[in-house]
Amino acid sequence: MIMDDYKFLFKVVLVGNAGVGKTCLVRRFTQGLFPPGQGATIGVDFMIKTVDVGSEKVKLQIWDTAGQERFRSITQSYYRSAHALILVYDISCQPTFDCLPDWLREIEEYASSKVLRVLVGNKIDREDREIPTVVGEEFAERHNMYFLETSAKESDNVERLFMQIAEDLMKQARSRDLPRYDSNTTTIDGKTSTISDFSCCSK
Amino acid sequence: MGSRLREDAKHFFECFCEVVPPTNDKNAWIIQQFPEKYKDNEVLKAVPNFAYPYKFENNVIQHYSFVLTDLESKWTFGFCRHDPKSETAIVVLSYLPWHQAFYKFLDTTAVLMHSPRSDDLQDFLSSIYNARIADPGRNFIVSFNRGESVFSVEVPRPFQLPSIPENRNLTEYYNAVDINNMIVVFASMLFERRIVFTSKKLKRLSACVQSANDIIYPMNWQHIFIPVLPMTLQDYLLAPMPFLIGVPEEVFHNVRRSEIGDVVILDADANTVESPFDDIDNLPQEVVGSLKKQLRNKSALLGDGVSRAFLRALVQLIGGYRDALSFKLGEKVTFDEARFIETRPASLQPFLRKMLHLQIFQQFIEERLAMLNNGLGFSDEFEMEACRYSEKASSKLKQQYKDWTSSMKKEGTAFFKSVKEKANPAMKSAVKTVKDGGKGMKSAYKGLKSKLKENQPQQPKSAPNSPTGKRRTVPGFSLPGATYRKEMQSFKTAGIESRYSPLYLSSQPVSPDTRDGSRSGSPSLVIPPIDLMSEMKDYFKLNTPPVDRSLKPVRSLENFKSTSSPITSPDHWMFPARSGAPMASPPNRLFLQNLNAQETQNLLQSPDDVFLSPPSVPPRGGPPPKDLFGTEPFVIGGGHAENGDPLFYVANQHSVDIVKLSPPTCSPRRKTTLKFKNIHLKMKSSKVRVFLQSCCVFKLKTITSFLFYVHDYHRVNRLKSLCNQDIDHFMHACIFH
Repeated sequence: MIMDDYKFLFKVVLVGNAGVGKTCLVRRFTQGLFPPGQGATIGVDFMIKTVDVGSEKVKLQIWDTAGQERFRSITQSYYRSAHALILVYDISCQPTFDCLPDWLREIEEYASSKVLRVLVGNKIDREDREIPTVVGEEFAERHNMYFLETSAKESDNVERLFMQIAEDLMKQARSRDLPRYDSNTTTIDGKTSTISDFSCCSK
Repeated sequence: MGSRLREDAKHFFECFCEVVPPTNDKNAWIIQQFPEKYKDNEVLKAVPNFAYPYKFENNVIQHYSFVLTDLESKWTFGFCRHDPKSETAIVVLSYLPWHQAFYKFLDTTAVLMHSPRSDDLQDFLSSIYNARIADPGRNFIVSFNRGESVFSVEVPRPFQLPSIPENRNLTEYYNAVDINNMIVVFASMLFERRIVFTSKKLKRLSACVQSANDIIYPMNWQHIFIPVLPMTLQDYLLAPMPFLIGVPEEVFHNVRRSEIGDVVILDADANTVESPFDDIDNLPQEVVGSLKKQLRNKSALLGDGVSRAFLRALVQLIGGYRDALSFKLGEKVTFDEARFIETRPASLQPFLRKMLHLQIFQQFIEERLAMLNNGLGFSDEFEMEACRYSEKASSKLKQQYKDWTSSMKKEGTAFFKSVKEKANPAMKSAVKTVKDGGKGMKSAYKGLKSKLKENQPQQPKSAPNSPTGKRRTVPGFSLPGATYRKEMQSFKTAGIESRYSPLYLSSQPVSPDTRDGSRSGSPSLVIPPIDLMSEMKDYFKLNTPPVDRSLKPVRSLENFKSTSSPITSPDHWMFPARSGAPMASPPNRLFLQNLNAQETQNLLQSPDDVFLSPPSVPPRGGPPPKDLFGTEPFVIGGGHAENGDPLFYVANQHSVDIVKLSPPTCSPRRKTTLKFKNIHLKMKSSKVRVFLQSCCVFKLKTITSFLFYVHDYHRVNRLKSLCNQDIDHFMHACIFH
């Protein structure tokens, strides 16, 4: 494992149609891949970035699964152990927006979960916008999600997106108002960590 | 689509690589590859890592497989061979999951790598690469070594359930992990957990992971799937989504368990499972109960007994999806989730409600709907089992589907056509496979015919590692194929080849676990007579009910455990010819008397230690009336030879023989005439002349049926008529008298 210094580890999962720029978004944020991408051989890529929230170090691990288009929707087991879910569409491509309800079908049924949900309209650098900002906003509001428009290309709002997620998850973690996915794990040295997935490591 | 296999494989393999192990200052790297035009750099970068997932000492020849997942979530299989006598590993990449075939391929390659003729290896690789892949059920045959040797493997038939011992992965899994733990893993997979398998042996690790996925057929694991996880990728264990990962023990030691969170861990060496969940308790107990019951019956586990038990559990759980299909004329077939739950027994409903939210279930439904909407009907192993489970519902459903398809067809073929065109290429060929399977008998018959043809003596059959191979025509093997090794000078450990003595090289460097690799040819069975017939007659005389289908595999070793008297000369039983396979040890293992259960289980340690055994029938006592069967032979059962050829157990008064299925003598297309022809089959060491009516295949209206007749010279017994498409079912029918 990567033994670096962090207080919280948060796992973020990216969902959305092919070509909406999920991977670019994360690469932009992490400034290249770390560790080097395995998307083409494992089918899943993850990127890690440690950020400072207040005085704490927070490690964000962002997971990006290739070939999601084969799913009609993402089922709940997919993000059962995730802390945040980013649903991405392309503001210049209506079909990617039209698919959102499909992606959300399962997520809605899993409404009891406190997994943090964020809707992202990507590619605002494009001039052929098809989805007005307000339409995205309304959709997000209806489904109780955060909303943000970004441009991975121009780096607009990318940093803000992930920082917002880190801050929010940290707030949740502090108040212990956490989704208790995999709680009660006994750690190797026998200590029980109630929020194991947040891995309160203080090495 | 649900399947993660690529259906568009054009070549037997995509790339062959030789990999140099890592040193202290250098990672493992590829010293040569074939074809050179293979340029998928992401894959080529990954291969050395998977060939040497960690630094390990290798004392035995070891085969294992790994899986690479591409951006479309399709799998590429990597088959790997480590030989302690070689300092490199060889790897072959393919879209085809044919483990046995590729291990055989690697063994052949390993021999050729040391051929004195430097172009032998390249010739072999390019012949195989350029050869067209044979149809399912047929042999993929490529000659090499200037036409003097033949590489032959059987192309697996679609929807064939993995059987023990033919399927090495399942055999390994079954040996390593007991039934209860297999059920825990099965349950964890149905809940889409994050699952880790661990073992010291890469071979065991990859086999267990592959089998665990095979066992949830007709579903397919949709999430992260890494049968062997290299040290460098250990962070994948942190993935928040479901996974099934085989972690070499040494890699697992390195991992901080607290970071992984809640995972199910199967230790395949210790046969233990740790799970933080109560997944078994959350499965409907009737399903777990019947699964356990079936799996407790050890005698029924050989063959596809294990796979079928799990398949039945899934039929019980989700076979009812059929009741929730709606057929509206002029529209695509759809699946109604609410109706699915409502129509299920109350005891299943809570679990099934959860199941609706599983990726594996959703993909399953999508795949089924695609099959139906393409006009393929209910044609695979799962559907057949579902038919058996609920025969009445099935016939109603089939009628509905028939009406729907005929109406769709009346509207013109445009609908089917358009659906097909929309379907992605993978689906299209999946459809083709299904169709082939559905047409069933025709292709099975064709396969059979071709197999028989292939067995004609004029075709050279021997593989290079075969004891019957014309090996003397490949003299020497004494020099390294240096010219081919373009990078030899940069290969630090160059010169290791000198360790190969010519003696070694001209013998077969074949590991014990590869000896079953060959699927070619037909076994020449040497079968001494045993006296089972009197018991058999009693059995038949008492008019006992037909043998339960669940006892399907007739090659039960267990039978021998309890049967002591009828077997008279166990020493003589042997099956020396696993064709094409070298006989490394004297062919004197076999027949086994008075085994206890443990020993029976141990028999499965290696597929080589298992062999067919004829079924025995519980003695009932009392002399049979002589006129019942006369002196003519009678079929009492059937099974498959190692190479997949159908076999029958034919009994007469004094012995039981194993005979190969004779070729059907009438064309499947000829509808009216049932032509019979006596086929004379004489077994080598048997004094019994066996007359067996050939199998008759004919078309009865639209249903392809099998009729099997056994002639006892007094009357023709119609054994059983089945409308199944698969030769397998035909075989089962033979158990019924």
